[in-house]
Amino acid sequence: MEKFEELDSLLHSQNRLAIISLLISLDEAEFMFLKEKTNTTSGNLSLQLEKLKKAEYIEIHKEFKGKYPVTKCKITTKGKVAFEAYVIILKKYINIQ
Amino acid sequence: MEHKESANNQFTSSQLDVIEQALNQAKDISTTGSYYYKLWGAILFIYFLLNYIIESGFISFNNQILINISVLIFPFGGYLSYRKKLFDQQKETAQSKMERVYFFGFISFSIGYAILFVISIWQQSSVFLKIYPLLIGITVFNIGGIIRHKASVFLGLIGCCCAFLSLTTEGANLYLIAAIVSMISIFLPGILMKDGKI
Repeated sequence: MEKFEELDSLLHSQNRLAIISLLISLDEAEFMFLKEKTNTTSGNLSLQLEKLKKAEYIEIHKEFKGKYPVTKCKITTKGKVAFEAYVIILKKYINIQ
Repeated sequence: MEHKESANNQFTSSQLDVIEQALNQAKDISTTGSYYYKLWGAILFIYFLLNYIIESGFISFNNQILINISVLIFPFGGYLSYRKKLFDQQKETAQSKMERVYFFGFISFSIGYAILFVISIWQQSSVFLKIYPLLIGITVFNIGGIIRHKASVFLGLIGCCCAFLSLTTEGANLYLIAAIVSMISIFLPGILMKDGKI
């Protein structure tokens, strides 16, 4: 029996996986965009973003849009590699099943 | 054991659903390519057409007005582009990767064209007009291929083919060819990018 490769535990969470999947196809996205698309609360999103940032999967920077501060997120190379590896393992998983 | 396998199946498919849904949502981000294609296609068309009228001597009155319009139309286009950029920055909450493709595609065209323009002045030749269809055709063709917009690929190719005409033509007609190419290879692809999602 073939042994399964271990999936990245950080991307197990559907919220974090959705965030990374959105960011991989975008140049950058604002906090509000991610909140709307992942359908989550601000508190939860902040928590998930912090975890992804700690793992260096994303970069977060703040800037001003007119008078208002906005938080922008961007996927890093490490994040892209982790996402691609996750998808490859997921595919293998399906093929084996 | 069976129960565990079915749980794994469910987990895998739900993870894939999350990825698929997120990728589809990201695809729905509008880009501003269509606006800039239409704006600069129209500006270049007017510029080349005015120069064709001036050079061909169709009109007998003092054509200083036309010369002024043809020069002032570029700062006007720059102003409209700047205003659009400011407006979009206020509105957009995510930036598509396609914006980068447009940006570098047209920056490379502008650099190439500026070099040709300087060479033309230096050598007192019309090389910048002769090469224009090829240069803009290749740019639109390449961008069309990357963003998967068939109309841009096709119309870019037509622009490239117009180089057969421009390279064998002299005088005022070069401006007319450039105006037609601006309409076919820049303005028309902009019109055909209907929903702004490319």
